[in-house]
Amino acid sequence: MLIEIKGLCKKYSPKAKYTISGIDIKGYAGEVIGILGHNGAGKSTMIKCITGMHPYERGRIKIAGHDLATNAIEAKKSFGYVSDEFTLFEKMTGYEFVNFMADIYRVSPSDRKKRIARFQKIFALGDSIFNPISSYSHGMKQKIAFMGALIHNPIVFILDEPMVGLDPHTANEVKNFFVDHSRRGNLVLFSSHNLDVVERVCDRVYIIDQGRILEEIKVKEFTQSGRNLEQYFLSITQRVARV
Amino acid sequence: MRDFLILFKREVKMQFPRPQKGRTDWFGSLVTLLITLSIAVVFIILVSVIAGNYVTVRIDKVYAPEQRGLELLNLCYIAIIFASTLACLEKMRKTLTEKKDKELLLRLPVKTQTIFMSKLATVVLWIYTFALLLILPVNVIFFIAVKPSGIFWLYTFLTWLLMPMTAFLFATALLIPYIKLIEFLSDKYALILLLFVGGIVGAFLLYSGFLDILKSLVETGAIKFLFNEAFVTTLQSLLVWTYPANSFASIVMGRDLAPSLVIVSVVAVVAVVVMYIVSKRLFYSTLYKNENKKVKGKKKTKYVRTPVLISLVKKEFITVFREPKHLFSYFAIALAMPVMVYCCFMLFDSLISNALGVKADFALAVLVVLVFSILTNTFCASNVSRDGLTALKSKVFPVKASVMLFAKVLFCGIVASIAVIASVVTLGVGASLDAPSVIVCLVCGLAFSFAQVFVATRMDLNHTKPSATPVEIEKMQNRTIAKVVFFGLLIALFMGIIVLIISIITVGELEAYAYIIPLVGSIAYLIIALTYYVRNVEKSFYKLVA
Repeated sequence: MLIEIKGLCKKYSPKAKYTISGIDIKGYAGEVIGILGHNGAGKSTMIKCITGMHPYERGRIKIAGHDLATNAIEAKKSFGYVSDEFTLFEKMTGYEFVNFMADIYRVSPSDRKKRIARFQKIFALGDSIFNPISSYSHGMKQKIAFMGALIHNPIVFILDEPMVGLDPHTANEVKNFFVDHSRRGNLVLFSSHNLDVVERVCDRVYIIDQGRILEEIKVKEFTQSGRNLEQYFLSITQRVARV
Repeated sequence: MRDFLILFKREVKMQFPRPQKGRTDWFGSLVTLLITLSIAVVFIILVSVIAGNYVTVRIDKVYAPEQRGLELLNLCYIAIIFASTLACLEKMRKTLTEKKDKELLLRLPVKTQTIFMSKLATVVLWIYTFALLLILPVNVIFFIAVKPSGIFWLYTFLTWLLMPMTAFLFATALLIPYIKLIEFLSDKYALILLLFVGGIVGAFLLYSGFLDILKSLVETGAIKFLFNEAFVTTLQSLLVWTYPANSFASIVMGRDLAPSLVIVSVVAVVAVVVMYIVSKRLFYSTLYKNENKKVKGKKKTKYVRTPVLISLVKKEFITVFREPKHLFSYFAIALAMPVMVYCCFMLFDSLISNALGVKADFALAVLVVLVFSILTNTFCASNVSRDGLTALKSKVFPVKASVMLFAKVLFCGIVASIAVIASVVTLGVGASLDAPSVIVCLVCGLAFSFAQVFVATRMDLNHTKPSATPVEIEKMQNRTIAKVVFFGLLIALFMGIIVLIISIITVGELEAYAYIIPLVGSIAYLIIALTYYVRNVEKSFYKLVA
């Protein structure tokens, strides 16, 4: 198991109610997992807890067998993360940024050379990689964030709303990359409210609403049963809202 | 009109933000207020003393305080117009030409002309506020010194109404070359640094000149070498040509009212027309421009693994070196530190020698180096907060928070060390300090600088809120800087003055204490600062949330 989340609870202040509570997620090698939910459902909070960006009150998070609370450094070495906000070091060039990330994750020179060449093919940044990130467009920033997060070939790849701002060609490459990366024995976990993307690439989907996991869906079985994910998602989240 | 008012209100809210609700840092705000007030009070007292000296100068043995007052006022108005022009230039460039929210505004069902007018009106309001903050204290001092009639305030109001227009006229004339210059310099960081260092050194030399005037005042009771008949006569002949500043001075003094009013009114009318035309053209021409300047970076294909700590320090260097604002407030100040230290040292050395008849080179060297170390290291009070949301993102890195923060401290320590070593060597050579004095001064300077870096970084970490707006971050940083300066000054002055007293009253074995006190004091401060910095540092870093 590459990700194991058990009873995760998080609130932003002592008096506030839990933003997410009782989250249980399991992720295995070779899988692409989607976290599906409306805006404000708790997807980003959950991902920020998993990546160690937000402290959490209760629960346990294990990544590649390392407990995030007790062995954070090893847990963090195992994953790559792309956030929904472009929080990049904008004064660096793309090349400097990717190399900086490679230094942080202790990637050998030969590995970084191979991987940068491969990512250059996928993300097609060309010579722009040598320009300052501050001069990049929205989509280019997203691409360089991907490159930085993947430079250490993480066993777990975590993304928060990854498709926002990507052109159709790159979005397609990214979707293929997710599948390819998972087939190499890795795990891809991403949050989204884009049902088409989730339906196309995910093996399993967790539907989250009001900070709780409502349902776990095996996408292949679900679609083979002739049901429509969009309608199901809307009906289940509306039902919870009424309750 | 309704659209204009809505947009104008929004712009005003952005330019003059209200303090955020929530926990207030009372101590930080109080220290900031205290420092601001003390600077203002010292400045007003100094200007009043100099003004008082100047008005007593006689030409052909004629005592004419009103005429001298007019000349002083003229000089002050030149300075105000100059400062307003610079402020106006930057405000116009930012508000009218930067993309920022324009894309969003253009989507709204309002005319582009209305958006333009709301932005221009905000710039005008901002400059009027800025000018008021400069004109009012000058005229209050003048009112106290010269005691003119009540109509003086009406003329002051008139001056405030018309003077910003002059600044607008000059700013508009300079706006396009200024924008071109900013664009040209935007990625030439070494050149920017060079210009900043030159500017700071130049400004400091001017400031030294001002201090020299004060020295003469303290030593002789009057500024005789400068404020004499020949000087004032030359100044008079030059001020005749300083239009329209001299016209404003005449208006306030109630002299040559009609011609002066005509001159400033003509300037104001021309300014309004020129400002409107130039601003509008600039606004429309930059409306749809692509702000992502195509900067061609150098192609690099060398792949080398750098140790994490060095890579983090390198990242700090890049983020500071490639941001002109940081370049100025850190690198330029640090590089100019030896000049500032040397000028201050020489000035106070001669002051003490002349006033007390003693040499206190070592004590002065320690005091000056410590005080300027505080100035140089104030930048470290933004070590964490300047990263904004990237501070939060770096929590994902598989690197201990203590290492990430230590990289920041190390980077600042390297810069501070270069500045201190260069300053002490300059003093050693320029002021012929002996070897033990140089070594002790160096150790004190380094220990004190590192202590300041530790305190500033930790205080910043304690107050950082990564998701805060740039204005909020700046306010928070200013409060932290005020506290760091306050504590640093207290310690530096305490040690420096004790050493100075010992040096002045040197009695036999007491002389050794002049070395021991700053040495022990600086190292003790370093240990306390390090303890404060280290305590729960990991926990505090991981507590950072958006």
